[in-house]
Amino acid sequence: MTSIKDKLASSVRQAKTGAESAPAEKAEVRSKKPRPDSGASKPAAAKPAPKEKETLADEPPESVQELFPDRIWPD
Amino acid sequence: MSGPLVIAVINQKGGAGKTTVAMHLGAGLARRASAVVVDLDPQGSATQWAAAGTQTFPATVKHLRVGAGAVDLRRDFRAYPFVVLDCPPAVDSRAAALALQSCDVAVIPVLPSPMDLWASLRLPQDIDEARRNNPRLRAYLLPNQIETRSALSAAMQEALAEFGLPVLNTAVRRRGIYKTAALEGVSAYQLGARGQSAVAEIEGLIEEILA
Ligand SMILES: Nc1ncnc2c1ncn2[C@@H]1O[C@H](COP(=O)(O)OP(=O)(O)OP(=O)(O)O)[C@@H](O)[C@H]1O
Ligand SMILES: [Mg+2]
Repeated sequence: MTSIKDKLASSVRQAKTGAESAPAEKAEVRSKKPRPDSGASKPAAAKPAPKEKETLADEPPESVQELFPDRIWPD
Repeated sequence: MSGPLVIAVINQKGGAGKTTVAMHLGAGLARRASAVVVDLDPQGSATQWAAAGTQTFPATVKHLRVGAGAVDLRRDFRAYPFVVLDCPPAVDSRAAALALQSCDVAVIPVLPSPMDLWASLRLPQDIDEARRNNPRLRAYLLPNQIETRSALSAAMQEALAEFGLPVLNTAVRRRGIYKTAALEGVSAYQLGARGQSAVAEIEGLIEEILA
């Protein structure tokens, strides 16, 4: 119990540090591998396709199903 | 403060419960004075909700596509004392920015799951930015889909403290009745005894917002 509490709070703290240092859309995935030099060619996926489907929404988060598999609070 | 009370239900994370909360705020507020839920999401979930089933939804629901032109939500909906904005799941969208610029209160539903919390972390910054032009803005986190016996739900309080935004005392529990309500095109208020517990928590939420 306590450990879940600590883990969740510290994961949020960690994510927050990432979000603050890389604001807006520029947020990078913090990879454990060192980044290649700036000369290296970037994978095509790194750049979002221009404008396309800009307003389309995310799917509902999968985490919901993982965390609460079909358990619904009784009404 | 003149004009309507504008409440934006916002979170860039998809599936946090924005539409569920917005529709229930609209239904509950409509018992006090006339209320409109403005569906700012191109998906149109709130509009679909209101159109489902045979009963009329207690609040007016209007779909609004925010294009390039200037929109003045406070003026356009001034006939309603209560305006609830159901925002799309993308804070970069014009609609979400407009909502933060126009509202008195931002209610941010958040789910008790790590991924959802991480994905919501940009909100405090967006709120701060919106406050530069909209200093009256009050923003609150609203724990949603809480389960009393889940360790993650219990861990929410501490994790939410990291956001630096006030957390509402009322939490919305995970209840099947919220899905039933959408299916039937109504709110828990119209579902009699089955909706009672949900109504109680929504009323608690409204009282906190209006306080
Ligand atoms: N308190 C709750 N109890 C049970 N189910 C819920 C609750 N809140 C939301 N849901 C369910 O979770 C799903 C997502 O909710 P909802 O559509 O309200 O989120 P949203 O933030 O509006 O999503 P989107 O980002 O796609 O607009 C829906 O299936 C909804 O019925
Ligand atoms: Mg929605």
